[in-house]
Amino acid sequence: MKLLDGLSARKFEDIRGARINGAIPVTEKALNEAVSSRISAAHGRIQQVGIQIGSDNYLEMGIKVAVGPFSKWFRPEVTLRAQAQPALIVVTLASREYAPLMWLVELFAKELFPKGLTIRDQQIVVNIAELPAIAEYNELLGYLKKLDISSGPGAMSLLFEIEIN
Amino acid sequence: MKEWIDKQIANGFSDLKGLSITANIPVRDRLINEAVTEFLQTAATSEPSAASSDMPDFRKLLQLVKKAEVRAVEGAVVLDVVVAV
Repeated sequence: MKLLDGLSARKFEDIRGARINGAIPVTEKALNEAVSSRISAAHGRIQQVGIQIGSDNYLEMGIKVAVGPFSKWFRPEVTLRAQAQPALIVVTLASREYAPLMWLVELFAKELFPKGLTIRDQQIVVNIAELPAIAEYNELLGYLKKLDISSGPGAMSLLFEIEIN
Repeated sequence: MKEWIDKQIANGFSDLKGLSITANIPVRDRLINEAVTEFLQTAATSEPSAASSDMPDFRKLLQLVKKAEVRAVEGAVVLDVVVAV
């Protein structure tokens, strides 16, 4: 891996002109498995999660949360949007009627993304550069030309374009 | 990341159906020479199985490469690669 370290240290000079684009699918099953594993590791107030992916980047987030001595399911709907520079994923409550559940989406986001989170109005902004899982690829984010999310029932895709120039 | 990649390999990449990546990468001769040097040093100093303990099994990932073309230009080798599941 010395090779990759050197490549990154020289700001990818050795592959200048490279163009990489693609689509990474995320199925509902994979998303729920990943989130559930993070939730159980966090040992927070959220006990269980069941996310349904709909069309047009709509997600129904079933979240079972400890409220006092009880636990209760909430199901806010959110929309997802991504942008390349800076690399962000923006989670927005789908409708004003869900506004009273904003605290729940905040709690979910904080337990899942303890770093790189900004909360404003009805939006939660996740700064991808600060996610520990992609720390080793951080340098590449500066070369992202396009980052988009597209969804259909049961799955979504992360669409990206990288250009080293 | 390695854990996630290992899991995908074990599942036969079933969670990644629809994945597609297209890359056009000009690789300068300096990097190619470093890669050859690193490969030779690794091959000379370690067992093949020990060398990959903290890395995903790249041989399995190569199954996903649908197209790979190489051409030489001045000072670089250009790789055209298509990956899909």
